[in-house]
Amino acid sequence: MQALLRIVVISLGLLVPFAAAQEAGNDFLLLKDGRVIVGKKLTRAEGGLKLTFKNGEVFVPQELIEDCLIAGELLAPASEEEKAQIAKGNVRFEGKWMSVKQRDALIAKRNKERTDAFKALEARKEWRNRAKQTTKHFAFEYTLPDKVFDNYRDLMETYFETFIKDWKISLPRDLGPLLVCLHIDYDAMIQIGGAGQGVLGYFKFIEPMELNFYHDRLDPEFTQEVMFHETNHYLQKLIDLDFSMPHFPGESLAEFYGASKWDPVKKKLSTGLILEGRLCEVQSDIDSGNWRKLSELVSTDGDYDHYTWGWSLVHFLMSTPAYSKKFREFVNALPAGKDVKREGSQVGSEYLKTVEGKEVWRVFQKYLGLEKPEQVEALQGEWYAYIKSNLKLVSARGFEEAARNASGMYPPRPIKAKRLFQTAIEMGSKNPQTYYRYGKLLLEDGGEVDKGIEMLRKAIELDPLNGSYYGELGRALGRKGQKDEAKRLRQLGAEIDPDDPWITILGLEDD
Amino acid sequence: MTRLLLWLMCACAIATLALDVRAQGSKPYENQDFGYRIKAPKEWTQIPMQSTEKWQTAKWLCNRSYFYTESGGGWTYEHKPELVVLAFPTQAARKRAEVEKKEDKDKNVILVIENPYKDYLDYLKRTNNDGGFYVSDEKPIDLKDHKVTCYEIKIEKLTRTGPKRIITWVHHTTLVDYAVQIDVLEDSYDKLKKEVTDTQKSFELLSVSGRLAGAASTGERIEDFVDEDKLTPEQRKTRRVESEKTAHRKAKATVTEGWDVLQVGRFLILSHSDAKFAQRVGEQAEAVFKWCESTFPFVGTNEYVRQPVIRICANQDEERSFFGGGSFFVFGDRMPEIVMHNDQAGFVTSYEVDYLNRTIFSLWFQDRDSNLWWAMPGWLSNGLTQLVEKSRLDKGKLDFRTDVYGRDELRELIRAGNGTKPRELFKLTDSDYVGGGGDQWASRHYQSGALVRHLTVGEGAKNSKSKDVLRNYMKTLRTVVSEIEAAESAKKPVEAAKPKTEEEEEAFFKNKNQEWKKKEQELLDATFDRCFHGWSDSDWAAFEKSYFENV
Repeated sequence: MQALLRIVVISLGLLVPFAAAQEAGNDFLLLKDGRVIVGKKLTRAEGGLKLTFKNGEVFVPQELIEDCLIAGELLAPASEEEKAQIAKGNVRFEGKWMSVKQRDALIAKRNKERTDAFKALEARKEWRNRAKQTTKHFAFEYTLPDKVFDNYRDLMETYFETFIKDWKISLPRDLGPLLVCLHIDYDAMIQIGGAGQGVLGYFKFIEPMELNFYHDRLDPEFTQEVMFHETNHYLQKLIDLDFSMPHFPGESLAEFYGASKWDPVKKKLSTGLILEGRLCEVQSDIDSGNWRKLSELVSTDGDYDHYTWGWSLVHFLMSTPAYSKKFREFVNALPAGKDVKREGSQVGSEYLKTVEGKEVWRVFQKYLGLEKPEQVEALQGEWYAYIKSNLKLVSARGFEEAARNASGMYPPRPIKAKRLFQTAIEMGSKNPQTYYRYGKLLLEDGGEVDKGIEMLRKAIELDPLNGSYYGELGRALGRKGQKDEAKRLRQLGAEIDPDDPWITILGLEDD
Repeated sequence: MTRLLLWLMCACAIATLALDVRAQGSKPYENQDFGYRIKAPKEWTQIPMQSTEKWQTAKWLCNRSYFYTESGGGWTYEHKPELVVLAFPTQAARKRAEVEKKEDKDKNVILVIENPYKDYLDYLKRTNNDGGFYVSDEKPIDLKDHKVTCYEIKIEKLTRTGPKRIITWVHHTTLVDYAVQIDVLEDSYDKLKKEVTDTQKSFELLSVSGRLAGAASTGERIEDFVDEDKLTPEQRKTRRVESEKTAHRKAKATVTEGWDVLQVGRFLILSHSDAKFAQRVGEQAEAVFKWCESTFPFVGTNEYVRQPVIRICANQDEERSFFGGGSFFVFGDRMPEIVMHNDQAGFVTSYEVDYLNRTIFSLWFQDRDSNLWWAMPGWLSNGLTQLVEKSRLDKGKLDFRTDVYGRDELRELIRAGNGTKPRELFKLTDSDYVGGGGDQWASRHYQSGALVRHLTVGEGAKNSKSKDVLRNYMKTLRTVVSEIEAAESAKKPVEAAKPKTEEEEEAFFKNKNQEWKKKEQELLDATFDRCFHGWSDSDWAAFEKSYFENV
């Protein structure tokens, strides 16, 4: 379908109205982040498109547009030769000269195909119309546009191969492809996946096994982290299908491999990068004076800190040559070690073995050589030092996360958050959410209003079809006395995001 | 300073009124308020509506269970099909996110947001908690007087009781969209298809009563949050009596055929269970109240305790159906209604009676002295709750039964040398009490149960040194809390200086994070020091010996 959408490449400036081909108002816009906009009038403008809403026009720059279909548009002549041919009554279409009638018939056919393709893409949002594709290791079901999906599919396959090789896992002979459900957004995953609010993705570890996650259009890197994390649970499961990896090291290892990155040029998957979101959480704890004890972390079942401090511990162990091999042996010993005490439980139709926290700690001590308390203390000291000296924020996205963390904690730390947002921007962040959040922070308590407004406008420039940005900008302008413009922006925001009831009330307390 | 309070209310629409004509045998059910008639399948039981319900107008539960077994010999689940008729006023639905702005007496700006369900699918999305669903088919039908949209919905992923199919016909009229929803197990659909279709086809529109046209809001005053601490006991009593009366009146209006209404002591019982069970439940609740009054007479002596409604459903399915998809919530004051079911586990061993005890106890304590309730350290509130939940009325007095599982767990802990000494337990802050996770929390939980038991009905209650420990501790805790409250209110409010640099901000953050725990620890230490003043090491040794032996 994606190929079909690209049959006619529409270039800016080469288009004229083509009255007979389309019904008016049947315009489609496909954005690169996967959104399909239907039913809004599209008009060409320099460098992009204009969308007409009741409360104003919205400009969408070309770099955000994957494709579009404007009712009644036609390719215009691009050269003198074309003009001469047109004078003879001929037209050039797809490299061939032909009569207008032939061309019109072809274009009408193509336009119908494109319209149908767009309609199908729009309809695909419904789970009943989902697309399906099976690869070597996965059976995908998805509601995303193909181009967005293709990237995730390729990444998952590469990731699978890399991990299997790295951990020397022998695949069961009768292992079929894993069902992977990739949802178009968070709400869709919650509704269709059924896991409940707060869940970012899940791996169902009993038969029939299944993986669910969603495409976060504003933060596709986060989607990748979730995807790698959940896929890692599946890969851990492949070590022994009858074994359920304990929360530690299971979740910590999944987080470690969640921070992976694919280099499409070098065709290389790098794993074990800095998981900056988790690092921010660890640093918040440290700022509060709460360092996590090694023995408690490893021996406690189901501890949330396995995602944060556990990740940092695995990062330290996997990245330190003296411990890397020992840690891998520890992980492999949990399902297979002869002297490990395993508990079993019936989960649905399956009987799964696992290891309880206290035993995990005993095995950990044994494989890491921590028989004596002073050895535990020493390793804990090395780990703390590693966190301090080796785990640093490295990307604009990391600084964004740290800033978000600093402004969201109790009590908030706005001064630190502003510095971190500013750093992210100086590092070249193009994330509209960064500008939006920074703008909101600057506007709090009537602080730096003009700079806040500037940031909100930048957020709109980067993502012009996000209703809440207009609502927040309206609130800011309302505080500057521009009541009419504030109202218009709130209404425009509500038009763009009709499902968000909050937009219309932003700033009402000041009215 | 103007503060903004946002109250998001998934409310509005329609107050469910009890003016209906109930199905008798195979007669159709008529709802005159909403103007429709429907014939529920034979032998399906009508379920009462929640008194706060805004969207559901009637529902029935199939008397028969259907079963689903997971492939590969997994678990088997039981499910009873359910029929619900919902009404979505179209005019109200169009008023999306309408906002009412007002100001209270303290100049707080309050935005009351009316955010009704936009349509049936929006309702389903916001209320379904039975696993992931999607619309698998959707088609329009033109009836002679109105249009219908027929939805087939499948619940497939992470279902609680197996994959299901929901068949919903939404009848569109000018004033109301009526959604007739029937859910069945996917495996049972073929068997029930005819019954489902016949029921859907039996829906008829009647003329709508005058009330509906104006029913764009609940028609009731939305209760503001009131700080009860600022009221006098008399004012509190007036409010509570009013809330109690409203709860009783509304609850009575929801009873359907087959339900009994009885008053036992201070409790209004609505029961769909057998009369003997209902009577015992009422007597048990009354006994817990009386025990609280005689054991803790010093707690909130002049306070009025609301007399709750106890609704006893026939079984768990009925209780689940009663709550399902509804809007059981009350803003402001908690509605004194306790919903339970007869779990047929025997009155003495019933977890539902445990639940009743816990809820009654918590209600009594919070109405008498909520500040003391919330100030209680983990070992005390948890321990008391464990003691009361296992109590049963026997020969006119409460018998405090032992939690056998907890006792065995605790014995294991003590044998392994992991028992916490009472002296340490008394001083644990909430975060230390919960500890690092499951094991530690469970250990402290069972120990607090055993300790409170020891002090109230165990050997500790007979020992001259320890028999008054619990009462003294609570009285002392109350005194310390009052002193802190008085000291806080005597302080002139000083706005903390805002940090100006990142360093100041970091120090402020660290200090704030430690502050609460520090205050909590000071409260516990002060209470401990005063309560156990004069206890020597040998007193503690004797007490601890007696406690551990008692376990």
